[in-house]
This record gives sequence, structure tokens and C-alpha cells, in this order.
Amino acid sequence: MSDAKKTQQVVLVSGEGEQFSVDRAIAERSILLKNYLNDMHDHAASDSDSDSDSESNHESSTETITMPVPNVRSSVLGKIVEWAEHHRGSTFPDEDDDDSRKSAPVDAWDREFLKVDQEMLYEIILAANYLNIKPLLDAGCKVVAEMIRGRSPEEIRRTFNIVNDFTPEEEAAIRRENEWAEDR
Amino acid sequence: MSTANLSSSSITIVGNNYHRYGTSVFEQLYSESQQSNSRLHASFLLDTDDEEGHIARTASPAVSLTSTDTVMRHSPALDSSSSLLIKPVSPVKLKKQKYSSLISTSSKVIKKKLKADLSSIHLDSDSFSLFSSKSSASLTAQSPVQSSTKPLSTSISNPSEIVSCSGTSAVVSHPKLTFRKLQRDDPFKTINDLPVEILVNVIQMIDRHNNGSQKVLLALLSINKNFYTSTKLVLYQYPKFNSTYRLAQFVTSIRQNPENGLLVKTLDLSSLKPGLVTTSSAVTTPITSDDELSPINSANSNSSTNVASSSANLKIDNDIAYAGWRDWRLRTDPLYSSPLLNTMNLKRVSSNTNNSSVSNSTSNSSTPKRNRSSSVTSFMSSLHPSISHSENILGSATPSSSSPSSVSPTTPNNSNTPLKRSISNTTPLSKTTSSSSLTSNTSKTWSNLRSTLKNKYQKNKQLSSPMPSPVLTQSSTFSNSRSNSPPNSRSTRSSHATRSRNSSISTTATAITTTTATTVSTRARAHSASSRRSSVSTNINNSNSNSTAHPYCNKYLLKYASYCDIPVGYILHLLQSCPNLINLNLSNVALANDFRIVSKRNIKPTNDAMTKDSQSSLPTLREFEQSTSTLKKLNNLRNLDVIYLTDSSKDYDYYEKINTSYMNKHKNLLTTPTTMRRNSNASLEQTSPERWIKSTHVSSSFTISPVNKRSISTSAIMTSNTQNVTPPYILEKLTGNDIFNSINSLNSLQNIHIESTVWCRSLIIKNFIFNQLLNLTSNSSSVLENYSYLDNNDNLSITNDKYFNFKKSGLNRHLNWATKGHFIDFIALIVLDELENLDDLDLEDLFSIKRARDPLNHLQLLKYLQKKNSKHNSKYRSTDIIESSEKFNISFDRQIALPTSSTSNESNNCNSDSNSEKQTIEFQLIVVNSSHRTRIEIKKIDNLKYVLIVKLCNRQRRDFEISAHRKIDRSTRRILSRIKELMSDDLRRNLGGNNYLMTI
Repeated sequence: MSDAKKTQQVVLVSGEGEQFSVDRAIAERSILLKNYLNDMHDHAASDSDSDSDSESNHESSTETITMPVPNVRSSVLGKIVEWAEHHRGSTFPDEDDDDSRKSAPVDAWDREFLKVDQEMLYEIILAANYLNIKPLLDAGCKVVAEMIRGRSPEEIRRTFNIVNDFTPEEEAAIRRENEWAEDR
Repeated sequence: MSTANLSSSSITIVGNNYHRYGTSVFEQLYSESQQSNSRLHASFLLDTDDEEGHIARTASPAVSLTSTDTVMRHSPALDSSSSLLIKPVSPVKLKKQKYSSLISTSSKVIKKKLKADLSSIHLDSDSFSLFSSKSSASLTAQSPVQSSTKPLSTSISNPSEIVSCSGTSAVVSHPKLTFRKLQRDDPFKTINDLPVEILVNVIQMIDRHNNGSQKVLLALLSINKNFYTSTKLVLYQYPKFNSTYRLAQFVTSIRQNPENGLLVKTLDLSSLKPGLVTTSSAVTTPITSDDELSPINSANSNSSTNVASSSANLKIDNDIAYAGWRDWRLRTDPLYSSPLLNTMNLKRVSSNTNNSSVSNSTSNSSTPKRNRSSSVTSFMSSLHPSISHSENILGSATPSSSSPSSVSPTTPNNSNTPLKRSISNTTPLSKTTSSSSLTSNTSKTWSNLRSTLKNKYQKNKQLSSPMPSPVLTQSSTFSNSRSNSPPNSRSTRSSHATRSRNSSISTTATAITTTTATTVSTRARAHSASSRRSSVSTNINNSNSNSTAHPYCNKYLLKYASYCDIPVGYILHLLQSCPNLINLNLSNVALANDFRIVSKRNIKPTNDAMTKDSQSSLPTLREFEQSTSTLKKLNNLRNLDVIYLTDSSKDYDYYEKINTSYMNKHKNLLTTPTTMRRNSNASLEQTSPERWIKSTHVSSSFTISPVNKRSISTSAIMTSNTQNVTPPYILEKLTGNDIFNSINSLNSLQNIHIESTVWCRSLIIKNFIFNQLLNLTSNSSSVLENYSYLDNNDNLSITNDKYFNFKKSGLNRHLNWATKGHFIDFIALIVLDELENLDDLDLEDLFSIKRARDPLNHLQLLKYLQKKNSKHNSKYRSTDIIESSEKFNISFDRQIALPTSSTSNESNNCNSDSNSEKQTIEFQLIVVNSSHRTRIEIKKIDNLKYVLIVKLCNRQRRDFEISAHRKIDRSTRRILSRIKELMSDDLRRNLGGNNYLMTI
């Protein structure tokens, strides 16, 4: 069964309808897809197992699962598949360990991989969030964090095309509210 | 029917500046407006571009799609279009959009392309029609209706998705167009599209590399609202303080914004530092020259790096210190908040004198000499000739104030000297030093400052106002007010000084705004605004800068600089306003005395009092009221209720005096009613303490002798409270017990660290632990399941348990509970502690030593134990049981649930005595032999009955997972050996009678 799982192909259908055929192991980088595949297909498979063992096994190994991912555009899904293919064998720090997860530097390949325009970066982050791919999400967040770090608010606004939607009074109020956080 | 047709039917070309419209569309496209309205415009713009073969956005990743995919692409978009219904767009808002200032921020390539596109659009009337806001209104109204006909399936929260769909549904009659739209319009995702949790994640990543500095977070707060909400989550989750001043600010802040208190998860007060400023001997004094742009910041970096790098070279600067909570508390007090008396400014003056080598005396700023000060003045005036004029004003004003009548005991007669001196100094600094030398981070250069100042002074000269020429700096205005008022005892004059200072500032502000024609006007106004703000909440900085340097300590508070104690009231405030605390660290916290002020009457807010007063007072003051009323909105610092003594700027004596004078007055009332009549002439109807001080000065152009003042204060209270006989205030001393009572009401708390403190007492801890136990058990019966540590694998299972750390706390060195461990460990420790403290007779009774002597009884006991234990747990054989006690009671003060902070006023009225009652808990100790490490179990029989089972390791071990277990182990062994001793004693006494041999 596990062998069959590995070779099993999953077809991911993007928001536009483009199809990406990947190994199931790769698709399972996404916790969302993993849970879905486990819940839906394996469950169905095991159900059918009880009926006719050999037949269903044979079927599930050859059958490709089609998996719509409507919230993710083709270009983004392509990138994510690319990422997952590269990290086929990588192991990531423990998910529950917040500290090590957040303080680990961004992987060099990931950094290169995420050198895309901002829009794409956000879409990748959003997709990683939606698909629940923690390492990719973290890498994306770290890249964004690096863009922010060490810049003045005005620079950050320029970098991210952010409009300052505060009135001067609000800004003053915020400053007063949080004055305690100033350094000595 | 298509909306495109609809809209084109109502073509209205609003103007012919099409570039402008195009620009606006473009801006909205890239700006973060969530209005799909504007996006619709964008989409249509891009559509028409496509028809003409232009590709507007090269960045769009989906450009290369083939038309065969059309159908498949269509469907999800249509699905998501359903969310349009949820979020209808008001087209009115479109007009409010600003059409400027963003173009520069977009990427150049796209801009160029778009301009090219725009030129082609000029020919296309359809696109124009869409630009007009009217047609767009009809369009957006149309699109939801259209999309409602589509099947609704998934709801997609992404707003940008909505946009794309609205475009889709709008032109649904053109399949080819629709297809293109899908690629095109799809969302220009920006960082604002990221949901809050992702942004929080990003910010946490940023924060992680900051080494505890919150500067970066502060900067992020002011980016936009999205960032603000996300950053606040991170910032308040774990607020970090390193000075008591900042802590005091935090307390005030979360009292003003209670919603922020809910975000606090971790409160760590263990790393507070005293305000001592350390400078290494190699580095010169923090501020050497006034021409430095940001002297304080550089001083900060100097001192902080010094602290970090080497402690060998450090020496403590005796003349200067960072502000502590006392400075914050007395921020409205003119004596203590005066920038003139700030150690930083004094320091700067002294360093000035050194630089110019006018004075050869050491720069001891605390006792200045008169002749030196004059030399400084001359020096300063020669340095800054532009200010010589103001110098003269001040010079003429100061002598009048030097009438030596009754200056406060704290300052000698020549107290004017330092004032004058520092005026001469701070005046040129005006902008940066306006108060307590706060920020100097402004981008303005000194030359700017000087020219600004010159202008201002010239203006001031021209204005022949009744006020003696208002000067801009807070400090000099203060000196003005000082020169006006006859010097009384300082404490009474204080509020008056604040008032007149504020008023003079406000008049200054208006004076400047009237003469805005000059070039400096804008800057001057900006400054006056900032100075006004800072005059209210004293240490608020210049609004232009992004960071406030830590203020420095007042000269008279310098003696406290080496302390980093925290008043109990602050801690109680913190605990009450942060109900979601998970981690609490009060290690190394020294407590400053504090009192709860229990008021028998309602204190009216001082605002009302002031407005009432002003109506019967000078017109200038009424003006001041008007000018401050807007400020009050911004700054409601004074509206906070005074709950603890440290919330107010008054000291203990003050309230005592009220009480005593009040009591005296009641005697007077019965005996001499004439005094009251005389005093009522002053028309003083004050209820609030601050009020009568103010009004005495409002109504007093005459000097008030101490005696007179006393009588007025008496009458003030008398008139308002003729009915009440009880004193108006009761001051209750706060102790560590109050802190623990507050902690008790925090249900989510998981970790408590109170290390190395002396205010934890055994009794307090005992009460605390048992209160916790009762809270847990009384809340729900099932909770205790977590506390019966029974586990088939014989492993200690700790789930859902609180963790305490009281290491090195308490007055004694090796207290049983002064350790760290889990909640049940502490229960066990305290129970064992109780047993250890029993005397021999009680212990004999408790462990049935006398009864065990009788063999019959012994057998019965064994049977009884077997039976009893089989009831609890059949696992223990009778031979495993080393010792078992009778039931015994432990009494403690049960605390009745504390009222929350929201009802703090009511809580003031109820006495702290009524908050607790005696309660007893029944315990039984069973010591069991075990081959594993020593562990404990607590079994609950009923809410007030528990069995403590200590599974004692059969050999002494040194390795314990939890240090509390070591203490439990030791304590149990001590008890056991005592019992053994008692038994053998008993045996020896009775050896002749019964020939009985102990086998245990």
C-alpha cells in the first residue's frame, strides 16, 4: 500500500483549470492535501479493500487522483509544485517547535526561489497558507520579514506600496499609546 | 444584456484631463483600496487595452494561457463571484479617494506602459464612460445582480478575487473578453492582502532578531492600520520593559486602552533596571556639545554599549539618571516634571560651563552659585545673540520672583538661580529640549532652530499680550508663571503653575497661528502643537520623531535612581487589566509601598471641576479651558480613576491631611460655625483634592499663608460633606498578599515565576496554593482529574498543570516551598510543611503511635489501612505502606473572588478584610514505598478532603526531574524519621509493660 502511495499520481487542478501531475508524496507536502487524500481516498480504498482486496489495491496504484485546488492560480501552483519537487527529500524543523522554526535562516535555494515579484510572493504565501505547507509559508514570511527589517516606516511604505491611512491625530495617539515600548 | 452596454449608454465625460483619470485608476489599482469599484475601472481599462493589442501588465503571470482553457477558467471565477453579494460596494466612496502621491511609489516599468496605454485610450469612448463615476455606480450596482444568477458555491474571502469576478460578470456577454479578464484582473496582490495571522507571523520573524528591542515593532505600528493591528498583537503579547518609567507608562497605557491588556500573554518584570546612568571613564560625559543633532541618542548608545561591553570601566554617574516610575507618577507635578530640574538639563548646563571654561568650579549642578550662573548667562547670550532679547525679559522677570517669603523647604532661597541658568541654556534648545530633553531626533538642524526662535521671539515682542510675553519653550514659560505667582509653599503652588504654564503655552500657540504668514509659521505651528501635547502629558515627545529617548530623572528624585522597585498598585493594575496572562514573571521585583485609596465619596473628575472654576475666574483661564478641552480628548490621562496611591501624584501625607483636617473640621463645625462662614466667602465647593488646590490659586491673587491654606482646605471639604462623618479616604496598605489574590483570579495563568523576592511569605504562599486548589475544584469537578496523577505506566503525567517557581523567595533561606515545581508539588510541600511544624504530641496523635503500641490495635489498623486503600487504589499492598496518618485539617484564608477591574470603584468600598474568611481543608498523608523516583499523588475525596500519597523511593537518590520533588523527598524522610524516633521513644517508655517489637 505504501509503495502504491508513493508512485501514485495526483493531478492538481489550478484555479484556471491547468493540470499538474505530481507524485503523491510531493502533494503531501501540503498538509491540507495530505489530510484530504488520507481521508477521502484511502478511506474509500480501505472500504473497497474489505470488499475485494487485490482489485482495489491494483486500482489505487494506477488510478490518478484528481484534486482541484481552485484557490490557487496556475502560475502559483506551478511554483509550489516546483518547490515541493526540490524539497522532495528535505526534512524541516519540527512544526511545533516555534522557536527553531522561526529563528532558522532561510534556505539558500528557497531564497533564490522566492526572488519573484511581490505579488507572486504574496500569492505563494497565501497558497502555502491555504495548502498548509508550513516550511514554504515560513520561508515566504521570512523573506517578507527581511524586506521589512531595518527600514523606516516610510521606506516600508514605499517598498510595499502601502498607503498611510492614519491621520496625524491617530499617529499621535498611537505613539502615546505605545510610548512605553520605546527603548531606554 | 451586458453591463458594458448599460454603462456606455450613460456616458458622461466629466473632464478632459484624461491623463488625470488614468492616473487615478492606476493609482487605485496599486493602492490598497478594497473597493472593487475602482478595480472594476481598472479591469475595463485593461480590457480595452487588450483589444488594441497592448499588454499592460507584463508582471501578470497568467498571460500565457491558451483560449482552450476558457471554460475551465471561467467556472471557479464565477463561483467566487458570489461573494460580491456579500460585499456590495458603495460607489460614493470612490470620490473620496485621493488622486495623488502614489504614482511615485509604483514601479517604473508599469508606469511607462500604462502611460502608453492611456494615450491609446483617449480614442476609445467606452473606456471614458467607465471612468465617470456615475456610470461606474450603475455598473457596480449591476454586477451583483448579474452574479446572483450564477450558481453560488464556495465563498472566497480574498477580496481581490472578488474584484476579478465582478469584472467577469460585468462583461459576461463577451466570452473572449471574459477569458482575458481572468488573467488580467486578477488581483494585484499586495502585502495588505495577507491575512492578519500571516502578517503576525512575518512580524514575529522580524521581532525574533531584535534582541528584545521593540523599536522595530514601534516603527511598524505606524505604517498603516493593517500593520497596526498585526503589530499590536505581537507587541503586546510579550511587552518588555527595562525601566520602571516605561512600566509606569505601560500601566497607564493599558488602563487607558483596556483592549490592549487582553493581548498580553506574558508579563515579565524581572529585567527591570535601575535608572543609574553608567559611563565609562574613557567616554566623556554624555553630552559635550549642544550642537550635536541628537545628543541624547548618542548618549544612549554610548551608555548602552558601555553597559554591554565592559563593566570594568563603568562608573556610575552621580549627577544624572534615567527616570523611574516616580517621575511618571509626578509628571503633572510642576516641581518634579519641570525640565529645569531635570538632571539631564542640569548636566548639560554644567557641561556647558566646562566647555567655555568660564567657571573653574566643579560642575556640581546641585548647588549652583549665583555668580557662576550669571557668567553662564553671559556666555550663553554671547553664543546665541539672537536670544539676548528673551534673556532680558526673563532677566527682568526673575528678580520679582526672588521675594524670599516662604519658599519650600526643599529649595533654598537661591532656587531662582538654577532656573535662570537653565533657562539661558534651554532657550536656544527650544525645540528639542522643550521638556526634559526628550527627543532630539528631529531632522531639523540647529541653524533652523535658531532662526525659528528668532522669529518667534520677534513675534512675541510685538504681541503686547497681558501675559508677560509668552515664550515658546515649556521651561521658560514655566519660569514665567513662576515669576507671576508669589512664591508660596511649593506643593500648593504646583497646580497653579501647571495651569499657568499650560495657558501661556496655549496663548503662545494662538499667537503663532495668527502670524502664519511668515515662512516659519508652519514649522512653528507644528512645534506648538507638539509642545502643547507635551505640556499635557509632560514627556510626550516631539511628534516628528519616531522614537522617544528615555527621559531623565528629576533632580529631586535622583536619590531613588538606584532603586528599581515597583509599587504594588502597578502590579495589581497590570494583573487586573491583563486577564489572559499565561506567563507571569515577578522575579527580582522589589515592592514599593502602596495604598489602596478607599474613597467614601465619589470623586468628580477633575475636568468638571476645572471648567466650573474657570467660569468664575480669569478670562485667560477660560480660554485655556477651551484650548485644553480638545487636548483632553487626545489625552485622557487625568480621567483615570485613582485607585491606588501611586495613581495620583499626591503623597500619603496629603490624604492623611485631608482626613485629619476633615475630622478636625467636624469638631469645628460643632463648636465654631463662624469660621466656616468666613471661609465660604471664597466660594470653594471642591470635592476633589486636586480641585481645591487649583481654585485656591485661581481665586487667590493674594498670598496664602500656610495657616490660611489649611483653613481653606478644611472648609473645602467641609462644605461638600457636611453629612458624612467618616473621613473621606481610607488608605489601605497593599501587601504581597494582594498580589497573590490578584493572581488567583487569573485563570489562564500557567507559569508563575517569583524568584528572589522577599515579599513572598509562607503564609501568603499557603493561602495562595490552597485558594488555587479550591478555585480549581469548585469551578468544575472534572478538573481534578488532571490532578490525580495516576498513570498505568508509573510515569508522572503532568497535563494542564500550572508551573510555579518561587526559588530563593521568602525571608528565610531554605523554605520548603522556595523551589520550583508544579502545582501539586506545592500542595504536597505545604502539607508536609504543616506536618513538620507539628509538635511531637500532635504528630503522635496523627500517626497513631500510641495506638500502634497495642498489638491488637495495630492489626486492626493494618486491616483498616488495607480496606481504606483498597477503596482508593487497590494497587498498594499493605506492606508497601510505610506510614499513614489520620486526617488532619489545614486552615487558611479563603479568598472570596476578587471583583474585576471594571468594577474597581465598587471594590474600593469593600474592605479587604471582608474578602477572606477562614477555611479548612482536610488532608491525609500516606507514604508508600516505591522503587521508582519519589513521586506524589493527590486524590480528591471531596471538595475539601484530599489524600496526599507520597510514593517514596526506597533508596536515596539525588537526581530529580523536578526540584520540588527533592524537597518533597527530603521533607517526607524528615517526617518519617521523626515518627520513627517518636515510636522508639514510646516503645522504650513502655518496654516493660508490653514485650512488643517493632518491625517496621
